[in-house]
Amino acid sequence: MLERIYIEATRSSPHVECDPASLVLRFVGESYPENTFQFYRPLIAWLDRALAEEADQTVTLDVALSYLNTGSIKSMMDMLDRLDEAHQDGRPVMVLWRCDAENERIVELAQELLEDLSLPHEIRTE
Amino acid sequence: MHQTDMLALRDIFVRCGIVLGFNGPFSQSVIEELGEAIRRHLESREQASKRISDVFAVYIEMTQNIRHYAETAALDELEREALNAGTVLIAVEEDGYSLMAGNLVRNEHVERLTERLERIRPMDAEALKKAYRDRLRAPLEEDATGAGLGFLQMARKSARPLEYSLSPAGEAHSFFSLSVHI
Repeated sequence: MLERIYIEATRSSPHVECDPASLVLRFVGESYPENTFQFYRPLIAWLDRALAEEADQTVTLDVALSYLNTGSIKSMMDMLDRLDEAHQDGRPVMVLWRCDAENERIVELAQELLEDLSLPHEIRTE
Repeated sequence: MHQTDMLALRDIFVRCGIVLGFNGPFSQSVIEELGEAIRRHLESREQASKRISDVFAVYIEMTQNIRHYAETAALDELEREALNAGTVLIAVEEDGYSLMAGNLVRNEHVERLTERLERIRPMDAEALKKAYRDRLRAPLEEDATGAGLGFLQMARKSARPLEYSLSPAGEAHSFFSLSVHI
């Protein structure tokens, strides 16, 4: 049974919601927490479980992060790789990255991370 | 501290164009506060959003590197405090910003540090991008605190090859400083 995750944002870590009903993982804010891998570990674990369950329901990663330290970039890449693998196995997934049009670096980052992946995705500038 | 010390220090600050300097222990909270100060300062004087993003990113990588290093390399609490006490300087130069960070490292780590930086320094943009992407996809080590991407990211954002220096600082340590120009 997938539980709901709800983490409030801090100055250096994002707002996170993982919804077992919609299978959406949402990130909002900035990401440079003190122990970055520790922060992302349970979220990656949640993603793994979501991908293993409900094979017909789309798992969605909805990212609205304006800055990521390299540990967060690595963690995000990890999640994207897992989603891509699931996609290649025929499982429905979706990645949406919301960017501020004025933040050129985040648009570039999103493009770079998604570059070699085959999964359905959208980089939305708002 | 005497007035003459302050004047001497101020002369250096003015001569080097230093707009922010910090010397002390890096807690996550200090890193955040200084980071905000840097961003606000840059926003007030700088139009290019890319440059502001890059200065902030390099600053975070530098300071979190110091913190991670202090946590993992120190053999005891006293040493952890010494290793966690870093120096960060940001200077305005004609064509951009100069970020410098320095901290103590244990002598046995000097060789590996030097190797890594010497491997990165001669890389051009293509080579840096490839090295960064390879590292990004590589599996993490068991107890990794960082992704090993920090230096590569700094080098990609830097207008010049990374500059660094190492000088002896006591029996078991050296002072390592890194300079990035954005």
